[in-house]
Order: sequence, then C-alpha cells, then structure tokens
Amino acid sequence: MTDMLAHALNLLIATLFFLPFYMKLKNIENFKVEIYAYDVVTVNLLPWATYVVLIIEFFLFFTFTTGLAEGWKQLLGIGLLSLFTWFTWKKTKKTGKESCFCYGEIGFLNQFPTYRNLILIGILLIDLFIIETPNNVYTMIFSLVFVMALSFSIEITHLLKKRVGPNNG
Amino acid sequence: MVDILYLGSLLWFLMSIVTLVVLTKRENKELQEFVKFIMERAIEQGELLMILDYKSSEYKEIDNMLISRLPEKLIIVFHAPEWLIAVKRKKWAKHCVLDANDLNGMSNYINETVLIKVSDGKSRKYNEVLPFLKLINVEKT
Repeated sequence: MTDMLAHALNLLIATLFFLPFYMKLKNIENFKVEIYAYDVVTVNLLPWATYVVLIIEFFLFFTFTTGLAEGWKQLLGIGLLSLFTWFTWKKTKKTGKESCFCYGEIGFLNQFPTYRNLILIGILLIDLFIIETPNNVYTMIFSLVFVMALSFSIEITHLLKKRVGPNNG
Repeated sequence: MVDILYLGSLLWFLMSIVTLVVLTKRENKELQEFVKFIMERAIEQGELLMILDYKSSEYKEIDNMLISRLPEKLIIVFHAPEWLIAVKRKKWAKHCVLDANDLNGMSNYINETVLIKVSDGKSRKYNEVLPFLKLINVEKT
C-alpha cells in the first residue's frame, strides 16, 4: 500500500516536471527570452542555460517515473526549484508583477510561482524520506506512457477551455 | 488486470497525441490567419508584430523603448483610446501603428501584450515583450 502511494506521488512529481519541459521545448526561443528576463545570465550564455534547464527537467521526469536515482533526484529537484524561486523573487522585486510562463500557456500553473514552488519542494522533501525500490521494466514503460498521457491531457484541457472562454484561461 | 491498465494507458497516450496534434495545428492556423490579417492592413512590412495594451504594467517602459533606440521596425496593434493612438503615432515615427479598434473584432483574438515574430511564413509568440526588445537591442549592437 505504501509502495503504491509512493509510486503515485512520484508520478505526480514527474508530471509536474514533464509539463514544463515539454511546454518549453515547444517554444524554445520564447524560453530563452524568459531566462533573459530573469537577468541572471549574460547573453552569450543564454543558449547554454536554456539547454541545461531542459536537460535537468527531462532527467527529473525520467527518474521520477522510473524510480531510478533515488535520493539524488529529490535533491536535484529541490535545488532547481529553490534556484527558480530565488530568481522569481528577485524578478518580482524588480518588476512588481509575480507571474511566470514556467508552464507555457497553462495559466493556472503559472500563478503564484513562489507558493507553487514551495509546495513542490515540500512534496519532494516528503518523498525523500519514503524508501522505494526501483520499478521493473514493465512498470517503467507503463509509468512513462502514463505521465506523458496525463501531461498531454492537461494541455488539451487547457486548449479546449481557452476556446470556450478566452478569459478563463 | 495489469494488461488492461497497460493497454488502456497506451491507448490514452495515443489518443492524447492525436488530439494535441489536431488542436495545435488549429491554433497555429488561427495565429497565421491573424498575422496575415494584420499584415495586410499595415502600410509597411516587417517581421515583428506587437500587440500592445496601454493598460499593461510594462507599457511605460515599452513606450520608452519605442521612442528611442530600436534596431528593428515594429508593426504595433495598439489597444488604447483614440487620442493616445494619435499622439503615439507621431512619437513612434519609426514604427507602424494600427488602431486595434479599427480591426473589426479581429483584434480581440489576442488582447494581452505579446510579440509575434514572423519568419519563413511561421509565427512564433513571445510573452515577455520587454526583455525581448532589450535582447534584440543587445544582439544588434
């Protein structure tokens, strides 16, 4: 039972890393400008920073779905989120508006990025203390397919909602 | 039992990909039509199209950038009262300013402040307008 719950929790975390990875990949040029907006890297380092973030997010999606790199992935996830939260905080202080396009155009996941990240960090901390055994290949493939299907469905729901009422998105 | 779960999620995955491809194609087509509609109404041509709302929190800074040093010419769909549009048309002399009210509802397709870059017949949307303008400034100098 605990194993099932832990696995479900991991799939949820994996989805929350796959969605931003995939939304950024869809419009990578836009993501470069977003990184530039945070004012933390110089222009010539922009492409590098873009790919590093994408690779880390993909790695986190992959390890959380497959159950590999136990311990490391949680620490990496917490590190990445803390960095993002710090950057967002700095940017909010400068521009006065708190919002990001971290989840592409999926509006409800972009609001209150600081609280959202803190909650996610909390979930990762809980996950760090749950001991898991790696999944077998069969479960791994099933989980990968499941997380991607769930992420795509969230985007589909968003796209359809935007069509019905442009002001609700 | 496990096999049904497995097959079910595989089916779900395939269906969501197909749906997503159809929806994304439709979105792109609509954006393309919107861009075409605006470009036909602009006197001059350019590859940067900006939708600008004077109520946007970044308006003041964007205004400053438009007055001074931008290496590229923009086509601007401006959501603002008529008198303000008239004033800004003179001030942003380098750029081509279109009154959003003249576009018969078509301008409602996008009413937040965004930038659309058109190149090779493809349109790409940028949400962070101000950093985008700063970036082209840095890259061109």
